[in-house]
Amino acid sequence: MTSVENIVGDLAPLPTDAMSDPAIATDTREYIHRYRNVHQQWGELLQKNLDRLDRGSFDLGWMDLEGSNWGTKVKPSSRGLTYTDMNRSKAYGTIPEVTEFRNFAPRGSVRDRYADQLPVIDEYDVLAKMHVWSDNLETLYEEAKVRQWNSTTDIPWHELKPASEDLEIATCQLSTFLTEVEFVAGDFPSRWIYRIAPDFFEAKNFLVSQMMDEARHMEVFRKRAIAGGGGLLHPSPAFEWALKAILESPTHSQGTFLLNVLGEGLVLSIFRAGEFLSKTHVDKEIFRLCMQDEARHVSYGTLELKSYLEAAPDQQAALTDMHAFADLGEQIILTALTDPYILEPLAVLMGDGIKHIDDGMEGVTFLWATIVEEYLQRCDRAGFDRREKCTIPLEYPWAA
Amino acid sequence: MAAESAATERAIDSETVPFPSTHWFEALAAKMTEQRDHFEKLGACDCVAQLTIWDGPNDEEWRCQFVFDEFDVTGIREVTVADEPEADFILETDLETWREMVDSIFDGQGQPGLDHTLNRLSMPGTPIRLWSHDPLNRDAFYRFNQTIQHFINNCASFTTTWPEG
Repeated sequence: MTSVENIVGDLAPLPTDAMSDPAIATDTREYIHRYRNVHQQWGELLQKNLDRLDRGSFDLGWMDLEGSNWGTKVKPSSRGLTYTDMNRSKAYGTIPEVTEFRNFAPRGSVRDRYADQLPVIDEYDVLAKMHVWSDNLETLYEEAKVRQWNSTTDIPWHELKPASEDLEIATCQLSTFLTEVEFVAGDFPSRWIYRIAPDFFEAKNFLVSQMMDEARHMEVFRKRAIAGGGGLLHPSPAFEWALKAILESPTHSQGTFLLNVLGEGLVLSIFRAGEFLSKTHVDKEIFRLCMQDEARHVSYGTLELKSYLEAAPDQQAALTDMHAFADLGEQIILTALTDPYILEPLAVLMGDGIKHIDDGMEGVTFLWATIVEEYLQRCDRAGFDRREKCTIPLEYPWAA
Repeated sequence: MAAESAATERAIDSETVPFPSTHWFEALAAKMTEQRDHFEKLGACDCVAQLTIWDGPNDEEWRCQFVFDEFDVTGIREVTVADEPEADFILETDLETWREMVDSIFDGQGQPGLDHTLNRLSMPGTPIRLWSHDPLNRDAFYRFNQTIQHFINNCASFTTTWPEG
Protein backbone atom coordinates (compact mmCIF):
# COMPACT_ATOMS: atom_id res chain seq x y z
CA MET A 1 0.00 0.00 0.00
CA THR A 2 1.18 3.49 -0.82
CA SER A 3 1.86 5.58 2.25
CA VAL A 4 2.10 9.31 2.59
CA GLU A 5 5.61 9.05 3.93
CA ASN A 6 6.62 7.10 0.83
CA ILE A 7 5.06 9.67 -1.52
CA VAL A 8 6.64 12.64 0.21
CA GLY A 9 9.88 10.77 0.61
CA ASP A 10 9.95 9.94 -3.10
CA LEU A 11 9.78 13.60 -4.10
CA ALA A 12 12.85 14.69 -6.00
CA PRO A 13 15.21 16.89 -3.99
CA LEU A 14 15.14 20.59 -4.77
CA PRO A 15 17.66 21.69 -7.38
CA THR A 16 20.92 22.69 -5.80
CA ASP A 17 20.92 26.17 -7.36
CA ALA A 18 17.62 26.95 -5.64
CA MET A 19 19.27 26.00 -2.35
CA SER A 20 22.38 28.04 -2.91
CA ASP A 21 20.86 31.08 -1.20
CA PRO A 22 21.01 30.33 2.56
CA ALA A 23 17.77 32.21 3.22
CA ILE A 24 15.91 30.24 0.56
CA ALA A 25 17.38 27.00 1.83
CA THR A 26 16.26 27.75 5.39
CA ASP A 27 12.78 28.77 4.31
CA THR A 28 12.44 25.69 2.14
CA ARG A 29 13.53 23.33 4.92
CA GLU A 30 11.10 24.99 7.32
CA TYR A 31 8.29 24.72 4.77
CA ILE A 32 8.94 21.05 4.11
CA HIS A 33 9.13 20.33 7.82
CA ARG A 34 5.85 22.11 8.41
CA TYR A 35 3.97 20.25 5.72
CA ARG A 36 5.55 16.87 6.55
CA ASN A 37 5.46 16.98 10.31
CA VAL A 38 3.15 19.72 11.60
CA HIS A 39 0.21 19.84 9.20
CA GLN A 40 -0.98 16.23 9.36
CA GLN A 41 -4.49 16.63 7.98
CA TRP A 42 -3.62 16.85 4.31
CA GLY A 43 -1.64 13.65 4.57
CA GLU A 44 -4.50 11.87 6.30
CA LEU A 45 -6.93 13.05 3.61
CA LEU A 46 -4.55 11.95 0.88
CA GLN A 47 -4.20 8.54 2.48
CA LYS A 48 -7.96 8.18 2.77
CA ASN A 49 -8.38 9.02 -0.91
CA LEU A 50 -5.64 6.65 -2.00
CA ASP A 51 -7.24 3.89 0.05
CA ARG A 52 -10.57 4.55 -1.64
CA LEU A 53 -9.00 4.43 -5.08
CA ASP A 54 -7.24 1.23 -4.08
CA ARG A 55 -10.57 -0.32 -3.14
CA GLY A 56 -12.10 0.83 -6.44
CA SER A 57 -14.96 2.58 -4.67
CA PHE A 58 -16.63 5.97 -5.06
CA ASP A 59 -17.46 8.54 -2.41
CA LEU A 60 -20.20 10.64 -4.07
CA GLY A 61 -20.46 12.85 -0.97
CA TRP A 62 -20.37 15.84 -3.29
CA MET A 63 -23.82 14.84 -4.58
CA ASP A 64 -25.37 15.33 -1.15
CA LEU A 65 -27.37 18.57 -1.42
CA GLU A 66 -28.30 18.89 2.23
CA GLY A 67 -27.25 22.30 3.48
CA SER A 68 -26.81 23.60 -0.05
CA ASN A 69 -28.80 26.36 -1.73
CA TRP A 70 -29.73 24.06 -4.58
CA GLY A 71 -32.67 25.40 -6.56
CA THR A 72 -32.07 29.04 -5.64
CA LYS A 73 -32.33 31.00 -8.84
CA VAL A 74 -30.78 34.36 -9.52
CA LYS A 75 -32.20 36.56 -12.23
CA PRO A 76 -29.93 38.50 -14.56
CA SER A 77 -30.69 42.17 -15.15
CA SER A 78 -30.72 43.82 -18.58
CA ARG A 79 -26.94 44.18 -18.54
CA GLY A 80 -26.12 40.60 -17.55
CA LEU A 81 -25.65 38.81 -14.26
CA THR A 82 -24.05 41.19 -11.77
CA TYR A 83 -23.08 40.72 -8.14
CA THR A 84 -25.99 43.00 -7.29
CA ASP A 85 -28.34 40.54 -9.05
CA MET A 86 -26.68 37.60 -7.31
CA ASN A 87 -26.85 39.19 -3.89
CA ARG A 88 -30.60 39.78 -4.07
CA SER A 89 -30.93 36.15 -3.07
CA LYS A 90 -30.70 35.63 0.67
CA ALA A 91 -28.81 32.41 0.10
CA TYR A 92 -25.89 34.08 -1.65
CA GLY A 93 -26.29 37.71 -0.65
CA THR A 94 -26.17 37.41 3.12
CA ILE A 95 -22.88 38.96 4.07
CA PRO A 96 -21.74 38.23 7.62
CA GLU A 97 -20.81 41.13 9.90
CA VAL A 98 -17.94 38.96 11.10
CA THR A 99 -16.87 35.80 9.35
CA GLU A 100 -15.41 32.73 10.98
CA PHE A 101 -14.31 31.16 7.73
CA ARG A 102 -10.59 31.62 7.23
CA ASN A 103 -10.30 29.31 4.24
CA PHE A 104 -11.20 29.28 0.57
CA ALA A 105 -14.66 27.68 0.87
CA PRO A 106 -16.99 30.04 -1.01
CA ARG A 107 -19.80 31.89 0.75
CA GLY A 108 -23.01 30.00 -0.06
CA SER A 109 -21.36 26.59 -0.49
CA VAL A 110 -21.90 23.45 1.64
CA ARG A 111 -19.02 24.24 3.94
CA ASP A 112 -20.15 23.94 7.56
CA ARG A 113 -19.68 20.18 7.67
CA TYR A 114 -16.06 20.50 6.57
CA ALA A 115 -15.09 23.10 9.16
CA ASP A 116 -12.87 20.66 11.08
CA GLN A 117 -11.01 19.52 7.99
CA LEU A 118 -10.48 22.79 6.18
CA PRO A 119 -7.18 24.57 6.73
CA VAL A 120 -7.00 27.85 8.58
CA ILE A 121 -5.27 30.56 6.59
CA ASP A 122 -3.60 32.58 9.31
CA GLU A 123 -3.07 35.52 6.98
CA TYR A 124 -6.83 36.01 6.66
CA ASP A 125 -7.17 38.33 9.62
CA VAL A 126 -9.57 40.97 8.29
CA LEU A 127 -12.72 39.21 9.38
CA ALA A 128 -15.15 42.09 9.97
CA LYS A 129 -17.31 43.47 7.19
CA MET A 130 -17.03 47.00 8.62
CA HIS A 131 -13.35 47.16 7.64
CA VAL A 132 -13.88 46.54 3.94
CA TRP A 133 -17.48 47.14 2.95
CA SER A 134 -19.12 50.05 1.19
CA ASP A 135 -22.68 50.12 -0.09
CA ASN A 136 -21.54 51.07 -3.60
CA LEU A 137 -18.98 48.27 -3.85
CA GLU A 138 -20.85 46.01 -6.27
CA THR A 139 -21.83 48.91 -8.53
CA LEU A 140 -18.30 50.29 -8.62
CA TYR A 141 -16.86 46.86 -9.40
CA GLU A 142 -19.18 46.47 -12.40
CA GLU A 143 -18.33 50.00 -13.48
CA ALA A 144 -14.62 49.33 -13.17
CA LYS A 145 -14.87 46.25 -15.38
CA VAL A 146 -16.66 47.98 -18.23
CA ARG A 147 -14.75 51.28 -18.14
CA GLN A 148 -11.23 49.93 -18.48
CA TRP A 149 -8.97 51.50 -21.09
CA ASN A 150 -5.59 50.73 -22.54
CA SER A 151 -2.71 53.17 -22.23
CA THR A 152 -0.98 51.55 -25.18
CA THR A 153 -3.76 52.12 -27.72
CA ASP A 154 -6.25 54.63 -26.32
CA ILE A 155 -3.81 57.54 -26.09
CA PRO A 156 -2.85 59.14 -29.44
CA TRP A 157 0.87 58.95 -28.63
CA HIS A 158 1.93 59.67 -32.20
CA GLU A 159 0.31 63.10 -31.92
CA LEU A 160 2.31 64.11 -28.84
CA LYS A 161 4.27 67.30 -29.46
CA PRO A 162 5.96 68.84 -26.42
CA ALA A 163 5.16 72.57 -26.17
CA SER A 164 8.43 74.07 -24.90
CA GLU A 165 11.37 72.85 -22.87
CA ASP A 166 10.33 74.38 -19.54
CA LEU A 167 6.79 73.06 -19.91
CA GLU A 168 8.08 69.63 -20.93
CA ILE A 169 10.44 69.51 -17.93
CA ALA A 170 7.49 70.40 -15.67
CA THR A 171 5.32 67.76 -17.36
CA CYS A 172 8.03 65.13 -16.92
CA GLN A 173 8.52 66.07 -13.26
CA LEU A 174 4.76 65.89 -12.63
CA SER A 175 4.66 62.54 -14.43
CA THR A 176 7.47 61.28 -12.21
CA PHE A 177 5.53 62.33 -9.11
CA LEU A 178 2.36 60.67 -10.40
CA THR A 179 4.29 57.48 -11.15
CA GLU A 180 5.41 57.41 -7.50
CA VAL A 181 1.84 58.00 -6.36
CA GLU A 182 0.46 55.19 -8.48
CA PHE A 183 2.89 52.67 -7.04
CA VAL A 184 1.50 53.13 -3.55
CA ALA A 185 -2.07 53.38 -4.81
CA GLY A 186 -1.66 49.88 -6.24
CA ASP A 187 0.47 48.48 -3.44
CA PHE A 188 -1.86 49.54 -0.62
CA PRO A 189 -4.79 47.39 -1.83
CA SER A 190 -2.37 44.55 -2.58
CA ARG A 191 -1.18 44.66 1.04
CA TRP A 192 -4.73 44.02 2.21
CA ILE A 193 -6.36 41.88 -0.46
CA TYR A 194 -4.74 38.69 0.77
CA ARG A 195 -5.63 39.50 4.38
CA ILE A 196 -9.34 39.98 3.68
CA ALA A 197 -11.37 36.84 4.31
CA PRO A 198 -12.90 35.40 1.11
CA ASP A 199 -16.43 35.90 2.47
CA PHE A 200 -15.88 39.53 1.43
CA PHE A 201 -14.93 38.62 -2.12
CA GLU A 202 -16.82 41.62 -3.51
CA ALA A 203 -14.36 43.89 -1.71
CA LYS A 204 -11.39 41.78 -2.82
CA ASN A 205 -12.59 41.94 -6.42
CA PHE A 206 -13.05 45.71 -6.33
CA LEU A 207 -9.60 46.18 -4.85
CA VAL A 208 -8.17 44.05 -7.65
CA SER A 209 -9.86 46.38 -10.14
CA GLN A 210 -8.32 49.33 -8.30
CA MET A 211 -4.91 47.68 -8.60
CA MET A 212 -5.45 47.29 -12.34
CA ASP A 213 -6.44 50.97 -12.59
CA GLU A 214 -3.36 52.07 -10.68
CA ALA A 215 -1.11 49.82 -12.76
CA ARG A 216 -2.48 51.50 -15.87
CA HIS A 217 -1.94 54.96 -14.37
CA MET A 218 1.64 54.12 -13.42
CA GLU A 219 2.13 52.84 -16.96
CA VAL A 220 0.63 55.90 -18.66
CA PHE A 221 2.61 58.46 -16.63
CA ARG A 222 5.85 56.54 -17.11
CA LYS A 223 5.14 56.47 -20.83
CA ARG A 224 4.22 60.17 -20.87
CA ALA A 225 7.49 61.20 -19.21
CA ILE A 226 9.52 59.25 -21.73
CA ALA A 227 7.41 59.62 -24.89
CA GLY A 228 8.08 63.34 -25.32
CA GLY A 229 11.82 62.80 -25.36
CA GLY A 230 12.28 64.18 -21.84
CA GLY A 231 12.27 61.42 -19.27
CA LEU A 232 11.60 60.53 -15.69
CA LEU A 233 13.05 63.17 -13.40
CA HIS A 234 13.30 63.59 -9.63
CA PRO A 235 11.56 61.55 -6.92
CA SER A 236 10.23 63.56 -4.01
CA PRO A 237 11.70 62.36 -0.69
CA ALA A 238 9.19 64.35 1.35
CA PHE A 239 6.24 62.91 -0.49
CA GLU A 240 7.63 59.39 -0.42
CA TRP A 241 7.38 59.57 3.37
CA ALA A 242 3.69 60.35 2.93
CA LEU A 243 3.34 57.35 0.63
CA LYS A 244 5.09 55.15 3.18
CA ALA A 245 2.68 56.35 5.86
CA ILE A 246 -0.28 55.41 3.66
CA LEU A 247 1.15 51.97 2.97
CA GLU A 248 1.77 51.28 6.66
CA SER A 249 -1.66 52.40 7.93
CA PRO A 250 -2.61 50.17 10.87
CA THR A 251 -6.04 49.11 9.56
CA HIS A 252 -7.65 48.80 6.15
CA SER A 253 -10.30 51.38 7.05
CA GLN A 254 -7.71 53.90 8.20
CA GLY A 255 -5.53 53.33 5.15
CA THR A 256 -8.53 53.53 2.83
CA PHE A 257 -9.44 56.88 4.37
CA LEU A 258 -5.89 58.14 3.94
CA LEU A 259 -5.39 56.76 0.43
CA ASN A 260 -8.83 56.85 -1.18
CA VAL A 261 -10.54 59.80 0.48
CA LEU A 262 -7.66 62.16 1.17
CA GLY A 263 -4.81 61.12 -1.14
CA GLU A 264 -6.81 60.07 -4.17
CA GLY A 265 -9.19 62.97 -3.62
CA LEU A 266 -6.16 65.22 -4.03
CA VAL A 267 -4.97 63.33 -7.11
CA LEU A 268 -8.51 63.39 -8.54
CA SER A 269 -8.45 67.19 -8.35
CA ILE A 270 -5.03 67.25 -10.05
CA PHE A 271 -6.39 65.02 -12.81
CA ARG A 272 -9.40 67.34 -13.17
CA ALA A 273 -7.05 70.27 -13.34
CA GLY A 274 -5.29 68.46 -16.17
CA GLU A 275 -7.36 70.74 -18.37
CA PHE A 276 -5.11 73.60 -17.20
CA LEU A 277 -1.93 71.62 -16.68
CA SER A 278 -1.93 70.07 -20.15
CA LYS A 279 -0.78 71.89 -23.20
CA THR A 280 -1.75 69.22 -25.72
CA HIS A 281 -4.87 67.17 -26.36
CA VAL A 282 -2.77 64.05 -25.72
CA ASP A 283 -2.04 65.08 -22.14
CA LYS A 284 -5.65 66.14 -21.61
CA GLU A 285 -6.86 62.74 -22.75
CA ILE A 286 -4.52 61.04 -20.27
CA PHE A 287 -5.79 63.14 -17.39
CA ARG A 288 -9.47 62.71 -18.30
CA LEU A 289 -9.23 58.94 -18.53
CA CYS A 290 -7.32 58.71 -15.25
CA MET A 291 -9.86 61.03 -13.62
CA GLN A 292 -12.70 58.59 -14.31
CA ASP A 293 -10.85 55.73 -12.60
CA GLU A 294 -9.74 57.86 -9.68
CA ALA A 295 -13.29 59.01 -8.96
CA ARG A 296 -14.32 55.36 -8.45
CA HIS A 297 -11.62 54.90 -5.83
CA VAL A 298 -12.62 58.08 -4.02
CA SER A 299 -16.25 56.99 -4.10
CA TYR A 300 -15.37 53.62 -2.56
CA GLY A 301 -13.24 55.27 0.12
CA THR A 302 -16.00 57.67 1.11
CA LEU A 303 -18.63 55.00 1.68
CA GLU A 304 -16.14 52.57 3.22
CA LEU A 305 -15.41 55.22 5.84
CA LYS A 306 -19.15 55.68 6.40
CA SER A 307 -19.66 51.93 6.67
CA TYR A 308 -16.85 51.62 9.22
CA LEU A 309 -18.00 54.48 11.41
CA GLU A 310 -21.60 53.26 11.42
CA ALA A 311 -20.81 49.60 12.08
CA ALA A 312 -18.08 49.97 14.70
CA PRO A 313 -19.18 48.37 17.98
CA ASP A 314 -18.11 51.47 19.91
CA GLN A 315 -18.92 54.25 17.48
CA GLN A 316 -17.62 57.07 19.67
CA ALA A 317 -14.29 55.34 20.14
CA ALA A 318 -14.04 54.62 16.40
CA LEU A 319 -14.74 58.27 15.66
CA THR A 320 -12.18 59.48 18.19
CA ASP A 321 -9.53 57.11 16.83
CA MET A 322 -10.24 58.11 13.25
CA HIS A 323 -10.00 61.80 14.11
CA ALA A 324 -6.64 61.19 15.79
CA PHE A 325 -5.50 59.29 12.71
CA ALA A 326 -6.78 62.05 10.40
CA ASP A 327 -4.96 64.74 12.44
CA LEU A 328 -1.70 63.08 11.45
CA GLY A 329 -2.83 61.87 8.02
CA GLU A 330 -3.78 65.35 6.87
CA GLN A 331 -0.37 66.67 7.84
CA ILE A 332 1.28 63.83 5.98
CA ILE A 333 -0.72 64.52 2.83
CA LEU A 334 0.10 68.22 3.19
CA THR A 335 3.64 67.32 2.20
CA ALA A 336 2.41 66.69 -1.34
CA LEU A 337 1.38 70.16 -2.29
CA THR A 338 4.08 71.88 -0.29
CA ASP A 339 7.01 69.97 -1.75
CA PRO A 340 8.73 72.07 -4.43
CA TYR A 341 9.23 69.02 -6.67
CA ILE A 342 5.45 68.76 -6.93
CA LEU A 343 4.21 72.27 -6.27
CA GLU A 344 6.54 74.10 -8.65
CA PRO A 345 5.93 71.99 -11.77
CA LEU A 346 2.21 72.47 -11.13
CA ALA A 347 2.73 76.24 -10.94
CA VAL A 348 4.83 76.28 -14.10
CA LEU A 349 2.18 74.33 -16.00
CA MET A 350 -0.67 76.42 -14.57
CA GLY A 351 1.17 79.63 -15.43
CA ASP A 352 2.11 78.40 -18.90
CA GLY A 353 5.86 78.63 -18.43
CA ILE A 354 8.64 79.24 -15.91
CA LYS A 355 8.42 83.01 -16.52
CA HIS A 356 4.85 82.97 -15.23
CA ILE A 357 5.37 80.72 -12.24
CA ASP A 358 3.95 83.41 -9.95
CA ASP A 359 0.75 83.52 -12.00
CA GLY A 360 0.68 79.75 -11.83
CA MET A 361 0.64 79.92 -8.05
CA GLU A 362 -2.79 81.52 -8.31
CA GLY A 363 -3.97 78.38 -10.07
CA VAL A 364 -2.35 76.21 -7.41
CA THR A 365 -4.07 78.27 -4.72
CA PHE A 366 -7.41 77.69 -6.40
CA LEU A 367 -6.65 73.99 -6.82
CA TRP A 368 -5.79 73.78 -3.12
CA ALA A 369 -9.12 75.34 -2.11
CA THR A 370 -10.95 72.82 -4.34
CA ILE A 371 -9.03 69.88 -2.89
CA VAL A 372 -9.71 70.88 0.72
CA GLU A 373 -13.39 71.71 0.18
CA GLU A 374 -14.11 68.48 -1.72
CA TYR A 375 -12.27 66.52 0.98
CA LEU A 376 -14.39 68.12 3.70
CA GLN A 377 -17.57 67.45 1.69
CA ARG A 378 -16.67 63.77 1.34
CA CYS A 379 -15.92 63.54 5.06
CA ASP A 380 -19.33 65.11 5.76
CA ARG A 381 -20.93 62.52 3.47
CA ALA A 382 -19.24 59.75 5.43
CA GLY A 383 -20.48 61.12 8.75
CA PHE A 384 -16.97 62.25 9.66
CA ASP A 385 -17.11 65.96 10.39
CA ARG A 386 -13.64 67.42 9.93
CA ARG A 387 -14.65 71.03 9.35
CA GLU A 388 -13.67 72.21 12.81
CA LYS A 389 -10.80 69.77 13.23
CA CYS A 390 -9.10 69.86 9.83
CA THR A 391 -5.36 70.41 10.27
CA ILE A 392 -4.80 71.36 6.64
CA PRO A 393 -4.98 75.10 6.06
CA LEU A 394 -8.15 75.98 4.15
CA GLU A 395 -6.22 78.56 2.17
CA TYR A 396 -2.92 77.80 0.56
CA PRO A 397 -0.01 79.02 2.71
CA TRP A 398 1.55 81.10 -0.06
CA ALA A 399 2.74 84.64 0.57
CA ALA A 400 2.12 86.12 -2.88
CA MET B 1 -31.94 48.04 -40.46
CA ALA B 2 -28.74 49.58 -41.81
CA ALA B 3 -30.60 51.57 -44.45
CA GLU B 4 -33.09 52.78 -41.88
CA SER B 5 -30.28 53.83 -39.59
CA ALA B 6 -28.55 55.75 -42.37
CA ALA B 7 -31.82 57.45 -43.22
CA THR B 8 -32.23 58.52 -39.61
CA GLU B 9 -28.70 59.87 -39.63
CA ARG B 10 -29.36 61.88 -42.78
CA ALA B 11 -32.56 63.24 -41.26
CA ILE B 12 -30.66 64.40 -38.19
CA ASP B 13 -27.77 65.68 -40.26
CA SER B 14 -30.02 67.90 -42.32
CA GLU B 15 -32.07 68.94 -39.34
CA THR B 16 -31.82 72.18 -37.45
CA VAL B 17 -32.47 71.66 -33.80
CA PRO B 18 -33.26 74.50 -31.40
CA PHE B 19 -31.32 75.00 -28.18
CA PRO B 20 -32.27 74.89 -25.40
CA SER B 21 -34.89 72.18 -25.94
CA THR B 22 -35.54 68.57 -25.05
CA HIS B 23 -35.51 67.93 -28.80
CA TRP B 24 -31.83 68.90 -28.86
CA PHE B 25 -31.00 66.23 -26.28
CA GLU B 26 -33.26 63.70 -28.00
CA ALA B 27 -31.23 64.22 -31.16
CA LEU B 28 -28.07 63.47 -29.19
CA ALA B 29 -29.71 60.42 -27.63
CA ALA B 30 -30.60 59.12 -31.11
CA LYS B 31 -26.98 59.49 -32.19
CA MET B 32 -25.81 57.70 -29.06
CA THR B 33 -28.07 54.75 -29.85
CA GLU B 34 -26.67 54.62 -33.40
CA GLN B 35 -23.12 54.64 -32.06
CA ARG B 36 -23.58 51.87 -29.54
CA ASP B 37 -20.24 50.25 -30.38
CA HIS B 38 -18.41 53.48 -29.64
CA PHE B 39 -20.21 54.05 -26.35
CA GLU B 40 -19.75 50.42 -25.34
CA LYS B 41 -16.02 50.98 -25.72
CA LEU B 42 -16.23 53.94 -23.33
CA GLY B 43 -18.15 51.75 -20.88
CA ALA B 44 -21.58 51.74 -19.30
CA CYS B 45 -22.76 55.03 -17.86
CA ASP B 46 -25.45 55.27 -15.20
CA CYS B 47 -26.40 58.66 -13.83
CA VAL B 48 -28.96 61.43 -14.02
CA ALA B 49 -27.54 64.67 -15.38
CA GLN B 50 -29.22 68.06 -15.31
CA LEU B 51 -28.43 71.08 -17.42
CA THR B 52 -29.61 74.47 -16.22
CA ILE B 53 -29.48 77.49 -18.50
CA TRP B 54 -29.87 80.70 -16.54
CA ASP B 55 -31.10 82.78 -19.48
CA GLY B 56 -33.33 80.29 -21.25
CA PRO B 57 -36.48 81.01 -23.31
CA ASN B 58 -38.23 84.20 -22.22
CA ASP B 59 -35.09 84.96 -20.26
CA GLU B 60 -36.15 82.46 -17.63
CA GLU B 61 -34.15 79.57 -16.21
CA TRP B 62 -34.47 76.41 -18.25
CA ARG B 63 -33.78 72.99 -16.77
CA CYS B 64 -33.54 69.61 -18.45
CA GLN B 65 -32.71 66.24 -16.93
CA PHE B 66 -31.54 63.26 -18.95
CA VAL B 67 -30.95 59.76 -17.68
CA PHE B 68 -27.88 57.82 -18.79
CA ASP B 69 -28.82 54.16 -18.64
CA GLU B 70 -25.89 51.95 -19.64
CA PHE B 71 -25.40 52.86 -23.33
CA ASP B 72 -28.53 54.93 -23.89
CA VAL B 73 -30.04 58.17 -22.74
CA THR B 74 -33.64 57.88 -21.66
CA GLY B 75 -36.14 60.00 -19.81
CA ILE B 76 -35.25 63.38 -21.27
CA ARG B 77 -37.54 65.95 -19.71
CA GLU B 78 -37.84 69.57 -18.75
CA VAL B 79 -37.86 69.92 -14.98
CA THR B 80 -38.32 72.50 -12.27
CA VAL B 81 -36.28 73.39 -9.19
CA ALA B 82 -38.33 70.88 -7.23
CA ASP B 83 -36.93 68.06 -9.38
CA GLU B 84 -33.28 68.95 -8.78
CA PRO B 85 -32.67 66.38 -6.01
CA GLU B 86 -33.33 63.66 -8.60
CA ALA B 87 -30.24 64.69 -10.54
CA ASP B 88 -26.89 63.22 -9.59
CA PHE B 89 -25.25 66.46 -10.65
CA ILE B 90 -26.20 69.75 -12.22
CA LEU B 91 -24.28 71.74 -14.80
CA GLU B 92 -25.49 75.30 -14.88
CA THR B 93 -24.35 78.19 -17.00
CA ASP B 94 -25.56 80.86 -19.40
CA LEU B 95 -26.63 80.45 -22.98
CA GLU B 96 -23.54 82.16 -24.38
CA THR B 97 -21.18 79.67 -22.72
CA TRP B 98 -23.17 76.78 -24.11
CA ARG B 99 -23.22 78.40 -27.53
CA GLU B 100 -19.44 78.85 -27.53
CA MET B 101 -18.98 75.22 -26.59
CA VAL B 102 -21.35 73.96 -29.28
CA ASP B 103 -19.69 76.19 -31.88
CA SER B 104 -16.28 74.86 -30.84
CA ILE B 105 -17.47 71.27 -31.16
CA PHE B 106 -19.05 72.03 -34.55
CA ASP B 107 -15.89 73.72 -35.83
CA GLY B 108 -13.82 70.78 -34.57
CA GLN B 109 -16.11 68.31 -36.37
CA GLY B 110 -17.12 66.66 -33.13
CA GLN B 111 -14.08 67.60 -31.03
CA PRO B 112 -14.23 70.64 -28.77
CA GLY B 113 -11.23 72.94 -28.60
CA LEU B 114 -8.90 72.41 -25.66
CA ASP B 115 -10.65 75.17 -23.71
CA HIS B 116 -14.20 74.09 -24.49
CA THR B 117 -14.70 70.74 -22.82
CA LEU B 118 -17.26 70.33 -20.05
CA ASN B 119 -14.49 69.49 -17.60
CA ARG B 120 -12.41 72.53 -18.57
CA LEU B 121 -15.35 74.91 -18.41
CA SER B 122 -16.57 73.61 -15.07
CA MET B 123 -13.25 73.00 -13.26
CA PRO B 124 -12.80 76.58 -11.99
CA GLY B 125 -16.47 76.86 -11.03
CA THR B 126 -17.06 79.35 -13.81
CA PRO B 127 -18.42 79.75 -16.47
CA ILE B 128 -20.07 76.38 -15.81
CA ARG B 129 -20.99 75.59 -12.23
CA LEU B 130 -21.00 71.91 -11.38
CA TRP B 131 -22.85 71.06 -8.19
CA SER B 132 -24.92 68.43 -6.48
CA HIS B 133 -26.95 67.89 -3.37
CA ASP B 134 -24.62 64.95 -2.64
CA PRO B 135 -20.84 65.11 -3.21
CA LEU B 136 -20.82 61.40 -3.97
CA ASN B 137 -23.32 61.95 -6.79
CA ARG B 138 -21.34 64.94 -8.05
CA ASP B 139 -18.40 62.57 -8.44
CA ALA B 140 -20.48 60.71 -11.06
CA PHE B 141 -19.64 63.59 -13.41
CA TYR B 142 -15.97 62.67 -13.00
CA ARG B 143 -16.58 58.92 -13.23
CA PHE B 144 -18.53 59.14 -16.49
CA ASN B 145 -16.92 62.25 -17.90
CA GLN B 146 -15.81 60.85 -21.24
CA THR B 147 -19.22 59.35 -22.03
CA ILE B 148 -20.95 62.63 -21.19
CA GLN B 149 -18.48 64.62 -23.30
CA HIS B 150 -18.79 62.29 -26.28
CA PHE B 151 -22.58 62.42 -25.91
CA ILE B 152 -22.49 66.23 -26.22
CA ASN B 153 -19.88 66.09 -29.01
CA ASN B 154 -22.49 64.56 -31.29
CA CYS B 155 -24.11 67.99 -31.59
CA ALA B 156 -21.69 68.47 -34.49
CA SER B 157 -23.88 66.16 -36.55
CA PHE B 158 -26.73 68.68 -36.82
CA THR B 159 -27.19 72.42 -36.90
CA THR B 160 -28.14 74.06 -33.64
CA THR B 161 -30.33 77.12 -33.77
CA TRP B 162 -30.32 79.69 -30.99
CA PRO B 163 -32.91 82.03 -29.54
CA GLU B 164 -32.84 85.46 -31.12
CA GLY B 165 -31.66 88.39 -29.14
